[in-house]
Amino acid sequence: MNCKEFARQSETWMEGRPDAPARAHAAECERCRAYVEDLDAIRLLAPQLATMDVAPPERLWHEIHAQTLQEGLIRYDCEEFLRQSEEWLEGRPSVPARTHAAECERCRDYVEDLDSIRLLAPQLAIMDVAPPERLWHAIHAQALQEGLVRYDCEEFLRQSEEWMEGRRSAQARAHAMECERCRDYVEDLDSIRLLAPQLTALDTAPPERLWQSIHARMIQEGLVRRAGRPRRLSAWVPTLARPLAAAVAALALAALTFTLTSRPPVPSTPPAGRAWLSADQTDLASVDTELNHVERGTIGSFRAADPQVAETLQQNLMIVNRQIARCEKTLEEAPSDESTRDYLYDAYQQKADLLNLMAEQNAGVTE
Amino acid sequence: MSTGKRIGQSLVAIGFAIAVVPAFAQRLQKRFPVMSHPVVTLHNSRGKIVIRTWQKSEVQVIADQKSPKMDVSAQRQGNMIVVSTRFLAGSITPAEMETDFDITVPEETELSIHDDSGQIDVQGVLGDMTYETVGADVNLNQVTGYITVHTIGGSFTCNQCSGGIEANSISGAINVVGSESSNVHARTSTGNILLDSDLLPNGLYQLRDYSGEVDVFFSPSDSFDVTAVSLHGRVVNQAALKEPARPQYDLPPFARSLFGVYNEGRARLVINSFSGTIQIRRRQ
Repeated sequence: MNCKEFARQSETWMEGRPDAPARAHAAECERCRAYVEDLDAIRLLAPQLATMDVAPPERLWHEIHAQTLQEGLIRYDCEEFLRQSEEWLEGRPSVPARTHAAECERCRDYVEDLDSIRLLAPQLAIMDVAPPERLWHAIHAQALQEGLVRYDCEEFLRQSEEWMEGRRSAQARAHAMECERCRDYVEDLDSIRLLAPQLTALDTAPPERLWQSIHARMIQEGLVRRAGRPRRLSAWVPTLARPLAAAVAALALAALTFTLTSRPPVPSTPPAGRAWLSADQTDLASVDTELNHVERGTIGSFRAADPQVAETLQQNLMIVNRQIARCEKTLEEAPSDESTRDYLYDAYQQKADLLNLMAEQNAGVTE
Repeated sequence: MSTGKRIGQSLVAIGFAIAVVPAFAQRLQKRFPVMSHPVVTLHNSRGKIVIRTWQKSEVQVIADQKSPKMDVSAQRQGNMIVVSTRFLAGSITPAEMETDFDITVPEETELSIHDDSGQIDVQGVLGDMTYETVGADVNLNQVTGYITVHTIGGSFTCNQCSGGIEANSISGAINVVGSESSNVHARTSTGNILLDSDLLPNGLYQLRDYSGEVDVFFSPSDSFDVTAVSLHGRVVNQAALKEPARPQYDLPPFARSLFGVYNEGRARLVINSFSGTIQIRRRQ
């Protein structure tokens, strides 16, 4: 006997004369057993029900409702349809539900949504659908603290940002002591951290492109793993052949960019005296020298797989160089011209970005 | 048979042979079911990229390769579709590098597109989007979201866009036409800038050029507060401006500048050029 057959015989159960197969099924099936208990309760309460105005239990009511629907005693409408959406989602829509969906456009649309969810459901199980990042972090930290998840290399890498910022948990320290690979990684992080002061007192992030190339390289060298939940732009730069050392060296170029982007806004009225101006000019001179140095190194070995790209980059480098030359000349004649100095900064910034891009193209060719 | 005729026949035969030998072309077509607000990232070296929308919760990627020396990969990582191309062989010609993409996405898709050279055409997407190119032109039509564009020499055109626009280039032109953006930040060195869009109340429009031309069109119903400075170029204005509401800053004596308020001065328009011409013109 199955559940459907059992439900059909509920009347005989109510009358206190269930047959042997029904009893056997009730013993095996938890759902029907619960149903039976409801029926028994109703049977026991029946004498009182005659005088009371109480509704039957929810589960029983459902069964009765389903039965009356099936027998056409009540109409199958949108409300009824929505009530059965769970069954639809589970892939077991009833015949009246199917009929109603075919007739009612609104419910059909709803059904399509349900079907989409149902189709996506298996993928959702294997997809990395996570709660918002901040919430996830909080849950994760709590789980770690309570020892519900293990502190392993993956966990360590996940906390590398905190490590860089000097916020090192006891677990992270312990893991670094035990794991050679993570210890090596930590040494790299420390090197970068030591270099940080030279990158100016920066409160700015490195250019996205540069960061991506370093990140991609680190992934390639197995120093960091591609996160299970990918960064939005992780696929920006595919794989670059630039060795890690070169990538770290490229930070020098980034340092220039930081210097340029972290430049304080030009005051509407320059402070009195020449001290401020002279300091600014010294800064500019060092940026210029450094950029020219990087340019010589980049241009000497520059090759791009696509000649059109190579030509565009070289032409634009010429444009930027002309812009720099013109601004410098103007500034020689009018050293206090802050507007021109702004344009010069812009040009330096563009040149740093261009050289960085050329280095990336170069790396792509030599890969 | 004369020598000329024989040569002619040979050329015809060679031409026929070239015509019948098919060029390599391989098509990759993949579909990925996605949830709402998916992310699509594409990294291509060279080729035309077309992105359009549909009502399905799916991303369809069609890639046409011109050579077997290129590898095209399209895969899903969570709710992100990652598409990329890479060289398989050391020596490769520009023509062999070319891969064209036709991608169809749900409207609310977030895009991150990189194409060194070629062209990017996007229509109807309503998510935030980032484009990075060397020489490829970027053309956006009826898109909404925060748009970030970086090109070296490629032009950028935004037609009927809304949301924020941040465009940077060195020699590429920047055109924002028929758009409803309250925040436009355009910067190029030698390219031209064209802003022919509604200037929305409380909107901020910052246009900066080195030597290219900057053209801004306004209509009589617009309301803006303008600051326009060209250090070594010209400023041409057709708007009847009132007294400026903001204090002016010091400028070199040779600079051409314009400060003023048009109607109530609700939008803020800041235009700077080193040696280019700035034109503020009435829309016909």
